[in-house]
Formats: sequence, C-alpha cells, structure tokens
Amino acid sequence: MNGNHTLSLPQKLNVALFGDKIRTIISILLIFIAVFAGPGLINWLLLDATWVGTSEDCRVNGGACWAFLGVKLNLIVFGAYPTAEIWRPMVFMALLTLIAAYAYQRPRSIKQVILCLCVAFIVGLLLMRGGILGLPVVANTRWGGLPITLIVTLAGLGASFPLGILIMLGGASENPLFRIPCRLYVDVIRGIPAITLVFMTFAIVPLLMPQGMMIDKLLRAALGLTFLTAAYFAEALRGALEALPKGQDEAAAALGVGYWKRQRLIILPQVIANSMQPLANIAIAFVKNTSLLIIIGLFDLLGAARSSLFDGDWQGYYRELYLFVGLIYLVICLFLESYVSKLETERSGRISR
Amino acid sequence: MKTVLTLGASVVALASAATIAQADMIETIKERGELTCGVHTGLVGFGAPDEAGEWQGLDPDYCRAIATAILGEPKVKWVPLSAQARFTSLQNGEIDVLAQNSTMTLARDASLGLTFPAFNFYDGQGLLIKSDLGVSDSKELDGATVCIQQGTTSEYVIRNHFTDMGISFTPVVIESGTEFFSAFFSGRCDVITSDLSQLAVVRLTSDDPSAYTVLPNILAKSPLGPVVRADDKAFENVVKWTSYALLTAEELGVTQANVEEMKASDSAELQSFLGANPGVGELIGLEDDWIYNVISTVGNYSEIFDRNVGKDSPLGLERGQNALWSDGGLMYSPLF
Amino acid sequence: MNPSFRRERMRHLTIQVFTIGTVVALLWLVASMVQHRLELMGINTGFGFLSNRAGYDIGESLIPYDGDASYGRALLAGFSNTLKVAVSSIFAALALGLLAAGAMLSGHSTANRIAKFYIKTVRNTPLLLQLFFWFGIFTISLPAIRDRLTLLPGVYLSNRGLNYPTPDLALGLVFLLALAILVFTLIYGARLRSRGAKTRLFSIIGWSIGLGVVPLAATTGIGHLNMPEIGRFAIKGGGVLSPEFMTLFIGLSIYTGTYIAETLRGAVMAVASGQGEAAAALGLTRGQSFRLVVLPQATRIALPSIVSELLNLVKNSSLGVAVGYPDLVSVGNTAMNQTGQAIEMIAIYMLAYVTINVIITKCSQVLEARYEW
Repeated sequence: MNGNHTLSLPQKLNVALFGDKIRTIISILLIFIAVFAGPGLINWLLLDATWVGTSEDCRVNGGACWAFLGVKLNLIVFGAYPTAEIWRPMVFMALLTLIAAYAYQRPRSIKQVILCLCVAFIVGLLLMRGGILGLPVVANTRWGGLPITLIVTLAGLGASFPLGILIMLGGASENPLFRIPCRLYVDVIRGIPAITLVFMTFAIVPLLMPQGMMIDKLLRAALGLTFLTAAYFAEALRGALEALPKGQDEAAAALGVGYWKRQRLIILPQVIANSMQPLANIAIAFVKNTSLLIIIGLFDLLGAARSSLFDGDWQGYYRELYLFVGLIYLVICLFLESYVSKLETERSGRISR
Repeated sequence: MKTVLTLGASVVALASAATIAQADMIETIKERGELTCGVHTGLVGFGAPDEAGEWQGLDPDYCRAIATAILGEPKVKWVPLSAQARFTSLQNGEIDVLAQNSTMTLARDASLGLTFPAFNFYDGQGLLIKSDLGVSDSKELDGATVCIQQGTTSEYVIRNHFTDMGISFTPVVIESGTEFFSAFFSGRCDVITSDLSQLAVVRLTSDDPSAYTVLPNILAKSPLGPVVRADDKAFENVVKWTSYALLTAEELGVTQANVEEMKASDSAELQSFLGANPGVGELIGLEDDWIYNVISTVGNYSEIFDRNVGKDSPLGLERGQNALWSDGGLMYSPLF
Repeated sequence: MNPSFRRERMRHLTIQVFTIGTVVALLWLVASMVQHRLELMGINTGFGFLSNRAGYDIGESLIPYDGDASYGRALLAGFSNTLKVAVSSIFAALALGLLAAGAMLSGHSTANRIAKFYIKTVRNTPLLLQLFFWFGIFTISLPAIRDRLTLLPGVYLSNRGLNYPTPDLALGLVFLLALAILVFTLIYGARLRSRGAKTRLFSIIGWSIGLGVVPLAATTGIGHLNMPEIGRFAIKGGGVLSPEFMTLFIGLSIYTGTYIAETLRGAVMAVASGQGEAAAALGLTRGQSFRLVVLPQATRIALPSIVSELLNLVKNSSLGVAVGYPDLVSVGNTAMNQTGQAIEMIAIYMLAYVTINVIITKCSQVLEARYEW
C-alpha cells in the first residue's frame, strides 16, 4: 500500500507480476504456457488460416479454414430454408436486433419492448411461413437455424414466465390443494435432466391428445422447455418471495385489497425486481437449452450448423464451426446479461433518487 | 366449493379425453388433404431432401404412391426422423406412415403396436471397413471396434454374429447419423455395420470410395418396408396393396409413360387393374382409378428402383434379390 | 390442548389427506388413460420387460455385463457408467473451480483476466455444443493408433482413447497395503503428536516401510503391470478411458468448473472484506487468516450453491447420449427402442436421477450440519 504511484511502469509491472511468492509462481506458469502453446495457436487461428477460398486452399494452408464458414453461412444460420426466400428470416432477425438495440438504449420502457417483441414475433412467424401478400408458403419443417432458436426462446420464455409465477403463487398458497401439487411439480421437474423432459414431451404428450389431433413438433419442443423453465422460474421467485416482509401483504389484506390485486400491485413487482439476477440466469439457460432440440430432430442453430459438416468436400472443419456457432450463442447470452444488469443499475438509480 | 369445482372440471376433462374414438385413417388423411410421412434425415437414394426441400428416394416415392392412392395426388408432408425417434413418432400418431429403411422383426411387429404391410427392398446387414487394413472376411475382425447406430437391428445382430464365431469386439453405439459416419471416417472405429445398401451409399459418397471395402459377409437379412400402426386395418390394406400394385404394374408392363394407352387397351385384366372397370377401388375404400393415378404419378416398381437407387441413379445398385419373382428375385405380388 | 385448535388441526389434516388423494387419483387417471390407449394400439406395457434378455452389447461398464443379461442388468450397467462419469467429473470440476477462483483472488491481473475469460465464454455457450467440440477433438483430431502419442511408457493417447497399464491382483494388493501403511503413519503420527509424544522415529519407520513395499514387490517379482499392447486393431491389455468417456468427463468438468469458481469467489469476497481485516488485526498472517478464518466460512456460505451445481452436473451427464457414451439414458434409449416402452423407461430415468438427487442432498445436509456452530 505504500505509494505505488511513485513507481515507474516497469516497476509497477514487476510488483504486479512478481510481487510475492504466489504471483511469481503464477507468472512463471503463464509464461511457460504462452511459450509452449501460444505460437501454435496463433498460427492456426490467424497466420496459416484460409479466409476465402476452396477446400483445396484450406488443405494446403493447414490452418483454420474460415472459408468453410463463408461457403456454408446460409446453411449454418438459416438451415434448410429455401435460398431464394432467405431474406424473410433475415428481415425477422433484423427486426429483433432493432428491438434489442432499442431496449438497451431505453431500459425504462420495458412495456413497449415487450409489446414490440410480441408484434415482431407474430410478424416474423407470418413472414417465415408465407401464404400472405403473395409470398409462397414455407412449411415449418424447412425452418432451421438461428430463427428456430430465437422463436423457441421467445415463445418458451413468454409462456414459462407467467406459468412460473402461477406455480410460485400456488406453492406459497395456504390452500394445500394448490400448494402441494405446485411444490411437487417444482421439485420433480428440477430433479430430472432437461433432455429427458424434452424427449418426454415429444413422446408422451401426443398420447394424451385425442387421436388425430396433433400438436406441431416445433410447439411441442417449446412446450418441453417451457415446463422445465417454469419450474426454475418458480423456484427463483419463491426465494425472493420468502425474503419479502410478510407485513406488506397482511397490511394490504387488512385494507381490504383482494388477492390478485395484492399480488399484481404489491408482491410481484418487488419479487421480480429482487430476483432479477437469477431470472436472467434462467433465461440464459433457456437459450442454451434450445440446443437440446437436436435430440428430437429439430434443426435449431446447433442442429443446422452440424448438418453443414455432412459434406464430402469440406470434412473435419468442426473446430471452426463450433467456435463460430459458440460465438453466436455467446453474443446472445452476453447481451441478455448486460441488458439485465443495465435494468438493475437503472432501477437502483431510480430508487435512490 | 372452489376445490370441488376444480376437481369436477379435471375429472370431466380427463373422462372426455379418455374416450378416444378409433379414428378412420383414410378419412383423416382425406380431410387433412395430405399424408404425413416419416422419412430418413438424409440417405441419398433412400430418402434425402433435394434443393427444394422435397424428399427424394425409394421410400419417399412409396409415400407419394400411398398419398396418390388415397388423395389422387402426391401430397405428402415430410417428417425427417432419426433411427431412435422413428417408431415413437409413428406410435404417438405424429406420422401416418413410416418409410425410413425400417427392418421388419418379430419384436417390432408384435410388441410395438406396429405392422409391416409390405416390403419395398430386400437388404442384408453388412460391414464396411477401410481397405488398407487388408481384411477380407469378418472372421479376421477379432478385437475390432465396431460403430453401431442406435435404434437399429444392428445392435443385436452384430452381437449374435461375433459371439457365434467366438470373436470379441468393442461396440460404440452412436445416436446421430452424422456422428456415426464421422466416427468411422475419423478412425474412431475400424468397422461400421449397417444395411448393405446404406453402406454402399456411404462408400460411394465418401471422398475416395476405393479406400473402403464392403465385406462379403451378410450378417442378417434385412427386409425393409413401410410401417404403419396396427390399429387401422383399412389403412394397412391401402399401404399393402399400393406396394403390390407397383409390383403388378411392373409385371404387366405398365409404366408411367404407357399407363394411358394400357388403360384403354382391350385386355380385361388391365382394364380392371387400372380402374376402367369398377371393382378394384371399392373393396379397400378408394376410387376405382387409384392404381392408374399411382402409376401415372410415380411409375411402377422398376421405374422407382432405377430412378432412385438402380441403373439410372448415381448409386447404380443391381436389382438382385429385388427383381421380380419371374426374373429370379423375391418381389412377388398376389392377384388383383 | 385447546379443542378449537385441535379441530383446526383436524381440518388441516383432512384437507391434506384429501389433496394427496386427489393428486394420486389424477396421476393414476392419466396413467391408466395412457395405458388404455397403448393397449388399444397393441403396445406392451408394464415393467415385465426388465427381466427379458437384452441381446445388445454395451461398450464399457463398471459391472460385469454381456448381451445375454437382462434389460434390468443393462440399465444397471448404464447407471454404473453414469455414476462413473458423474463422480469423476465432480472431483475435476471442484478442482478446476478452486483453481479458477484462486486465479481470480490471487491479485495477479493476467491470471484474473484469463479466469474471467474462461468463465464468461464457457458459461454462455451450450454444454451440448462444447461436448460436440470435445468429441471432435478426441475422435477426429487425435491420431490413429498407429501414430499414437506416448505420454509415459505404457500410456498411449489416440482416437481410441487413453490406454494405461493396470496392476494385476497381487500388485494391486501391494499398492493398497503401501497406501494403508502411509495413511496409518500419518493419522496415528498426528494423534501421537497431539499428545505431545515425539514421533520422528515412528514417522521414519512408517514412511520407509510404506514406500519400500512397492520396490520390494517389483524386485522380488510379486505381481506385475498389465501393459497395453498394440494389437492389429485395438490396443489390448491394461485399462482404457474411451474417447466418449473423456469427452463427457472433460466437457462436464470444464462447464461446471465455471459455476463453482463463481460461487467460491463470491463467497470468499463476502467473508474476506470484514473478517480478513479482523484476522490481520489479531496478528494472523495472510495465509493463516485465509486458511483459518475466511475459507471455513466461505465454504459454508458456498456449500448449498455448489451442491446444486453438482446436481446439475449429474443431470447434464445424460447428454452423453449425444456423443455415444453408454450412460443410463443411452442404454435406456436402446431398450426403449427395442421394446417400445417409452413411458416405463422415462419413469426409470426419473427414479434414477431423483435418487441421486436425494443422496447428494442428504450428504450435503450432513456436511452443512458439521459446519454449523
């Protein structure tokens, strides 16, 4: 603590890197790793890499084959969607990006953002499907890639959040008829692997339907993830609810405010605001879980990307592919993360004002 | 009070759901206006999407034939399915018919609630191996690692084969088709086992077909055909007799090109077969000209075979066992 | 007891019994409905199939299994594989989490940044994608047996997995004996020391016997190592970790390690701010205060979250099915496919995972009770 500011830069570095025994050991280890693995990594990633070209160029250069991504970009991002119509999912993606940018700029207007998302979602579905304004119909068995991931995410989160709230309220209810099934639901669902639940909705839900009636595969997939996520939402919200002073609810009840009005105006706003961080984590987990839809044969972003590996000419470029697709997921998840922390700073700013 | 109401409502809902009417598949398909057909996610020649997203291949053509028999036009909704998910999807009603290289076995026919009305390809299970290992028979494979696709008959056929020969092996069971083949090409396993036709396709579509050899051993018979649920006899009959119609058409020399003039010919057999005289449709609940529609849409069996997997296709498979009985093959149709 | 209070309790009890009854009745109704539907369709139901012959082989198993055994046994073999990968990944994930948390708390800015980068990227991409990536590394990028990497004499890494020598029974017993002697020396020595006895001689004797047993065994020819040998197709002898196991093991450890690191860091920061200064004021060194003051409390704070992350790890091990690791779900899916009994299989999955959950939760409660003061 004794006046670091008087030291010169090299001296500062010396303290930071070799200041005590632990730091010295770590520094030496890191230098060793950098010397050992660094050159190979840089060669592969950049120096020997092929940015544009054919599979032949890639084989000759030996480094990363980024050209592969360029050639397969449509397939990776949009799946088997007809190439001539690919502008339609692109417009949809652009719409969502605009809304995301708007939401980030204006963290206070959540209601508008939700409204915009609903509109964009419906417009996007109509656009992708076609059959209006003279657009040819594209059956949803041909949809794939990023749009599927985003559609399932939007629909699933939109459905599972209200469901999670209801389950949470049910679990906190005095009436055991609501409380016991809700608690049981949360515990059981959280106990089983996501993949099992997704497969279960795929295999068993149709058996509960009257014969001849069939829920669309895409919808059923979203349904499985919705059931799963609702349980996690309910659990996160329950934690916040228990932290809330009981007096508030009792005071409102004494004033004669009805149950739903109490929940809507007093309890839920606080519970949601206080559990922002866990809720964001669950939303992020949802985005990541959409990748499980491969298991039931749906071409989400990861599924569509993998289908590009099945080409005799371009074999074995899985590292490039997964790094690229991972980057897309990373951008979406990091956006969610920073949006929520922006919401939180905005809120704490408003309260202290 | 609330409690009683909730309880009452749930009981009513369940009771109404429990009285499931036995739906009439043919009616349902007619109402829907299309046939839902489970197909392979991508096996060239037997079921793979083309540039326009339409499925092409031997199995998809059978779906087209069935759809045409019922609807008069080949309106099919394609549902690509993995080997693992296919029977579940058929059982739970997601698809009407499964045409995905499925082998008929006792267990599948008897205990899955499914039935195999007909065969469209007589196949056998074989082994594919890298040529440079210098193996010429499965006897030499002691200690090899074998990749097997999950949800196929290979899983127990391979065990029976190797156990009978007293040979040990290490199985690697892989669910996804992509990983299954890439595991073989990358050398994770020495051998992959699958139907011979499928191995031929994989070998031919690889970067260097001469580097891979299909061993001469046939581990088991694999009669392949469309599958339907066992609870609708009328629909099962449609699938069965559509297949027979394709064979009979070949036998009678009726092709997509000449079906028009054949219908107008004065042979009584041809006239009733193609629906110029009434009778052939009514018995199985279809229009009288259903066979005419089918042949004019997809052609007869030999046309379907040649176009997708036979001499007019990149695969160029021989007819072999799949020739008509009159040419020494196994394809035999009862009388119309 | 106050009669009105008793009446109230009676009423509550009645409602509860009634509720549970209703829930059970509803579940039973749904189940029987599905069963009825399945019977109409001619699909077998019930758990009778578990005793039928499975007829398929499983790549690896901790319990003896071959294709002539029953479906029940096959599922048990799959479950043993689930436990194998779950338990080993739990230890690796804890170690990795500790390492990353340490890097973030070390005050070394580069190490801190690297750890943060690791956490941010790995946490924000799907585990399934990471598993596919690792599967590619272990099956496509590693060399074939012919060009295998020799890490140590007898330890080979190739796209067939990691082969290593294993001791035979006699040598294994010698190793166990040596280990037992060393453990005894440590524990008993500590106890003697706590009574104030001089233990140097005791330690020297204990250590030299313990360490001496193994070379003695080697020179006198008791037992030997089963070395992996290159066969025509595969490497025979010794032990092997399959590429599928390594994929799942590495993937799960790296993924769960990030969550553990974050939890640990958060807990240490929460304790360290005030308590560390207090400990310093008492004259404890930085290391002492960390070891004696901060760490025990931080562990206690972090324990519930860590346990829930470990539970997630166990559940995530079911993704092994995507990379061909024969875990419970993978083996069960084959059974499901052959018998068509999807509902029964899913019930078995649920039972298995809920059981693991209950066991781990109970263990953590015992641990938590130990930290209670």
